[in-house]
Amino acid sequence: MAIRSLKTGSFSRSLLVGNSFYDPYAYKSIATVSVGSGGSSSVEFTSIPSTYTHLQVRGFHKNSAGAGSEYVAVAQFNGDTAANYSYHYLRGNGSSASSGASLTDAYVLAGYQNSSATSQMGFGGFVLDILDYTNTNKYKTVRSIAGADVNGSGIIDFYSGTWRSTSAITSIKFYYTASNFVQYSRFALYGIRSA
Amino acid sequence: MSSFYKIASYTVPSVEVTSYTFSNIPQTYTDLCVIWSGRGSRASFYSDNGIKINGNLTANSLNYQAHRYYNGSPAAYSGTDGQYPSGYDNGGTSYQYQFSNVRYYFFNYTSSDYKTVLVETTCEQDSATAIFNLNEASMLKNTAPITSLVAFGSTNNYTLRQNSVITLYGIKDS
Repeated sequence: MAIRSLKTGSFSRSLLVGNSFYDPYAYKSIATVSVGSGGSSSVEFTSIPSTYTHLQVRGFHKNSAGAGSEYVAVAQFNGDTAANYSYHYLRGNGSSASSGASLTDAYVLAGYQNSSATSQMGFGGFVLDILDYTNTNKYKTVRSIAGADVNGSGIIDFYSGTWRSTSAITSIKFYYTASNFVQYSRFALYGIRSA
Repeated sequence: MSSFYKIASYTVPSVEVTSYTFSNIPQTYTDLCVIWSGRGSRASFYSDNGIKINGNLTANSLNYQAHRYYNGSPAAYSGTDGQYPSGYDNGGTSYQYQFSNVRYYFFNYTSSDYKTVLVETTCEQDSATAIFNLNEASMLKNTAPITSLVAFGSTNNYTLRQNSVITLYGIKDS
């Protein structure tokens, strides 16, 4: 069936009838990685499109080291393994607050996790925001809220971090420094537009 | 499932500004969110930022609870004399490429109730002490719907540096 444009009078087989596609949503899923039955030493998003303004990653993860093992998933950009990163954290454990920092490191912090003997428990969650990731006039600054509760004990963390590079971010790698992600760990990358 | 729409965005040009106003905000969303990547003109390593609601800058119009990581130490604090929800940008001259990472979230902004605002701020750089991270929950003691937001670099007229990006989003619940 042909559609007629009221603006130009032309006919088209597309509902767009000559108009360019318009997507009103500013928040879009780019990719999701779910770790399979064998586990994985890392999860990486590559070839990240440069068409968004900001990025957000929502992580749900658990390490393979067994009950009581605590790890923080870390993030590394564009394969840069040099000490070009810094981070700070603010932590609460239910009774006290603490803080800490690393000024020359190979990654930023993304999300805390504490494994449990019970398979259903021990997954940590985080929401990590990276602003203006393609702007070559800026270092890349991240903010993450993260935590896990293991049936009454746990941690809530607030992280800041910087990758001291003005390069546009095209890839992000998540990993533990001394453990692997178990099955059902999941990482979802979203793009947020401002244009 | 909610949907996330861009309402307006502003990038600070080479001529720096003290503020930018989002006016005539549509009343068709459930919540508002401002995402802010900023740098300010204050000489210190951090530079204040804030958002005036409906142009209001009245003392004692805002109560807040906060915890922060500042000067190498964590702390919790609160106030009952606020004027506007506030965060922090990077400042000073040593780190020209260092910009903040800030999110303001305004809940139920069209309601006739007091307004709840959450602020998450990171002002990061490679220093043990010269960083400022802040989480703040505020209650604006005003029942008027939010129709305008003024993003500004503090009441001390600090300017917002070039390449700062401030974007207003509307979130619509289904």
